[in-house]
Amino acid sequence: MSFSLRCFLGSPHLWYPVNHTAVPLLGSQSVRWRKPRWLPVAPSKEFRVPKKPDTPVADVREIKRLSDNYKTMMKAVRKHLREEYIRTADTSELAMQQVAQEEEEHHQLMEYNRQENLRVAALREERIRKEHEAEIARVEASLVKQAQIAAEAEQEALRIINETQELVKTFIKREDLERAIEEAMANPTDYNFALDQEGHIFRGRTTKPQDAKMEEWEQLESKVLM
Amino acid sequence: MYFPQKKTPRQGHVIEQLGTYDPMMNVHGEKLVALNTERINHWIGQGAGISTSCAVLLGLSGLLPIHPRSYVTAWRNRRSSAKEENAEAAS
Repeated sequence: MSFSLRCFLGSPHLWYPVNHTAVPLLGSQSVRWRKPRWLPVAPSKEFRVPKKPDTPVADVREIKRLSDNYKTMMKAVRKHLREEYIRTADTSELAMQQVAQEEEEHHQLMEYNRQENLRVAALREERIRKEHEAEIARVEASLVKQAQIAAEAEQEALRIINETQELVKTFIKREDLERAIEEAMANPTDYNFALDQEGHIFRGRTTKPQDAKMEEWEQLESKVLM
Repeated sequence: MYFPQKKTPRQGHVIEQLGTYDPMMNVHGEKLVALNTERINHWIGQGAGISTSCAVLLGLSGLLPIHPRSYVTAWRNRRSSAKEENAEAAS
């Protein structure tokens, strides 16, 4: 069994060209062997005590002194360089160039924006004009339609009035009531009749077709449009 | 010597190369070092971290103060050479 560890260090953004199949391998270091953790400590290593570095005490003190001084000096150096950078950053050539570039870009973008606004405004004007015209047309159409409906309603009303006026003539008035009753009593309507398909009507309950001659059969005046 | 981004590990992505160091001695017994001091100053001003070996070299070059490690290696070399001399003298 081969144990091999690969630590992958994230996909890099490289400025130099690289064969892209090899990109996942970039920055990875492999370890060929690591002892499995379930194996016990080897006998040769069981009682091993790693050797501690035995520096003389004077050396340790000297090293500490040197290192403290060094750290102080490094702090000073860093601070100085930082301040120098801050001081010169605003006035350096690169900074000036960048500022000029940004200004230029800003102007360009503003100009583009203005042009775009004009274009969109023109389109908007057009659209509003069209909508307005459509609205006017719609209103006029609706007025016409309303007038039409009103006219038709008027026509209908007139028709109803005329019909009713005709019917009113057949109404029985209070004064004529008794006369009408007597008339009705004197002329009862007899519903006992039979019809055949040619429209001959045979009145009377017990009338049969053979009772009268064919020439004398009564023809019903059809009130139904055939 | 190169300058990578702060959070990437050793083999990670490099932004700029600030110099070279050849650890092998050449014919004349020299180990050649090149340093771009301007850019190094710029990046230190930006807050770059410096590895110890790098700091040692920069100290020896004069850009930074001398690293304690240089002193330590120096006195250890002196002691070992003194010991050799004593051993030779004794034998």
